[in-house]
Amino acid sequence: MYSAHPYRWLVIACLVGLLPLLLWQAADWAEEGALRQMSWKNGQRLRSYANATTQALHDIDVAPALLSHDRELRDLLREPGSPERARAASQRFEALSRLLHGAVIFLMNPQGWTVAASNWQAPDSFVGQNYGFRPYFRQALSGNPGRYVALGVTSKIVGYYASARVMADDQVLGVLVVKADFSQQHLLFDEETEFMVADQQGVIFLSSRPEWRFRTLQPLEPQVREQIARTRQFEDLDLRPLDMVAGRTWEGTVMIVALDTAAPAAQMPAPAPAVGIAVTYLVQASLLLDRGWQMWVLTPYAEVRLAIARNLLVVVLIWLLVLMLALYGLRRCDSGLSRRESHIIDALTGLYNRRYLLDTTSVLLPRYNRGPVSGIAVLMFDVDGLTQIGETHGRKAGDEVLVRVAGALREVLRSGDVPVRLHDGTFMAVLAIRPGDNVRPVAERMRQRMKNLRFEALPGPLTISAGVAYYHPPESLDRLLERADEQLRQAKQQGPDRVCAPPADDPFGSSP
Amino acid sequence: MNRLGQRLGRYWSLAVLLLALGGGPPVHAVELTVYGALDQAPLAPVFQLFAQETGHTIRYVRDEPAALLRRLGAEGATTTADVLFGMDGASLRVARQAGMLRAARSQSLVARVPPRYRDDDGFWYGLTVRARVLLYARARVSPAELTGYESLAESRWRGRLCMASPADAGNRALLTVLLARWGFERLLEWTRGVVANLAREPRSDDREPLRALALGVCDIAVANTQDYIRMLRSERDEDRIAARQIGMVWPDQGGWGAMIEVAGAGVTAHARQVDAARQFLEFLAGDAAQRLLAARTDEYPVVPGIPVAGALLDLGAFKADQASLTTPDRVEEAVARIVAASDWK
Repeated sequence: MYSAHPYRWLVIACLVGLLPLLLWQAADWAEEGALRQMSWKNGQRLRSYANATTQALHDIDVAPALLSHDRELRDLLREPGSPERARAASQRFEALSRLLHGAVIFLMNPQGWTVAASNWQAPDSFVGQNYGFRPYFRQALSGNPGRYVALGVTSKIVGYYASARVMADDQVLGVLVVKADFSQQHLLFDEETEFMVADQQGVIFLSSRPEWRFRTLQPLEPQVREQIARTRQFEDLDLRPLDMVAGRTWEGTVMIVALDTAAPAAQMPAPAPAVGIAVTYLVQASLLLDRGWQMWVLTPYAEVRLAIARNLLVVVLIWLLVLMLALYGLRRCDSGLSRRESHIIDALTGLYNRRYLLDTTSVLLPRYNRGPVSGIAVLMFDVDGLTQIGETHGRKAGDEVLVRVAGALREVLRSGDVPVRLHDGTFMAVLAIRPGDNVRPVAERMRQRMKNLRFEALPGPLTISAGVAYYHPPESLDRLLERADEQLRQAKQQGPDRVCAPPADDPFGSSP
Repeated sequence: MNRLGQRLGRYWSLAVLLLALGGGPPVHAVELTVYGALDQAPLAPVFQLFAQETGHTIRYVRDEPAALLRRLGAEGATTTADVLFGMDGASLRVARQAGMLRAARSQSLVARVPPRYRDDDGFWYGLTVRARVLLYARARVSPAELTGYESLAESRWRGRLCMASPADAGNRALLTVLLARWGFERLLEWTRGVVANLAREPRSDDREPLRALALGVCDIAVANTQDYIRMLRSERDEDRIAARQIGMVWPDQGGWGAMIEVAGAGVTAHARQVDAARQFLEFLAGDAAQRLLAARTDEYPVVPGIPVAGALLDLGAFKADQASLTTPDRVEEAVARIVAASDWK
């Protein structure tokens, strides 16, 4: 008689119900962990890039102030009409330019005209050009060190300008400028990193992605546009804002931002309409306060999603393993129960069999008069004419009778009693009783119950013959069953449809 | 019993070994007393991380900078304070001059904190900075009208300016910086112009000008970025709505740059836990603490390359004034004379 474990479906339901919770929690942890790890890594990158940029520009920053003290330059500015001095200065600048990795050094008079330049021999020499409209010129004139990024008016290359004024006797003689080619500064950043560096107005002048260069971090105000145009900072480039949607912020400094990576670069001729492919990035940014720049480091959010997916996969695999182990355990449990049950249960009627009777009763009898068991009686009965029913109506009809008799027996007995099918049509019940209890009424009820059963195959009522025996220690189980069997035989002889039982106070009584 | 004793002895040896290998709390964990001018709640994770890394715990005493200096002065050698923290540059300079701080020399602090944000002799180190910015009522003022601090004294702002009193640390710092830029006479003239432009009697609280601006008492104001950010992110709806009516201008971007004020820390002269106090300062200048400070205090970290909070980034980049924050002693005196002469209360 196989039956599934009663908790099987509960266990499975719990495990299935647990899965979404586990996945949710695992995704949460994975995202948190990935964000923490990546933000730390990006923070380190930012630190390193900020330091590298500062170091790379250090020589350019200090050069103008150092050179501005040169007496020959002052003399040249005092006597601007001397071509010899201008050429000598240009030659010196040319030599110094090599020390500054090819940066252009040039000297401007107070009106903004370039009087000497390290590129004096080049076709696009700055000599004779007026750059007085550039902010670095005006800043230097007012005594502030000029630091500026712009697209070269002549070269069209992004340049970094540092300037300082040249003074003599409290009089401003001119401005000395060093311009470094800034187009290669991306070499400071590692190739795997997406980055952008924007100036104070938010114009991106350095980026790992060409399509982000000369875009802006926010729409430019009209006065800012006017200022950029006036100073020819980015010439006539169409400075359009990046297609960017800011999402949530994590731990204050990590922003999740969707960015259009497919928009055409602003400087491309006849820009096509932007067909955006939005990519979500983790963004961290630092400000270079001494320059007014902001530096962004971006990592595709897909890496976070990958970390989440990896974690979820591990969780699902572990969950599947747990589920399989649980199912395996339940199955083992089920088959163990089934095996045990088939050993002690009668397959046809579901009542206990003789083996169970022997096992249980052998445990029960020694506990007689101890604890809850204070009296035991045995009711044994045989279905009258069962063989004849089988022969007349077939085995199936006989089996039906046995099943219904077993059902009736269960109904008649109390919960502590043990119903047993001994063999063929012989049944018995081990009854827990109090001393002096009379079992005959139970047998009679059983007999009456049988008579009430109706079978299509039987013309008349079903009858049984029953015998009762009371246990008397220290007799053995065999002896008890023997006495019950004697009573049953007597009943059959006197019967059918008869009960033989000794009086309750005469356990060895032989008369019915 | 004997065998049990031997077994216990073996476990005890193992436990001692594990502790020695760092399995337990540090042997010399101490409690540092920190007198601080910043709110404690946002700093809790910073202190927690410090405790995790070093085992030292923090006892934080929060008060206004002036009150902390008074307290430290009154306590003298009996003070329990080991560190003075979150103080503005002017207060730190006063503390140094009054002998309340001791030099904390540290290679790591010197390497990490840029020279202009620290005392030359190591008496204090800046940890975060805030900028002094110009704010205007969007409805009544065009940002193009405000270019720098100099424009605050222009006559068109007569009766339209809100500014805290000169006792405010931010204003003192601003005057100190402007004195270095312009000299005594020009600053005096500017201060008189500013006083003439004030819409009402100044108050000491730096956030008052922002509220007054929002209420329409004045059209322009001077305040710190930190206060503006706090108003923008306030939990009160009316503050946030008012903040949206206020615009911000980075001053002097074509010239010197916006004036910035430092919030720094120093080891007290009578600190009992000098090594742990220096360790605390080194920790605060480290990457992890700088990032926490940047995320939680609405201020800019001093260490270059540390990511700034998204709210600060929304304000955009700016060029900061590069003048040193360690000013000569006589500058403070000169500022006091200018304030007195201009009748700025």
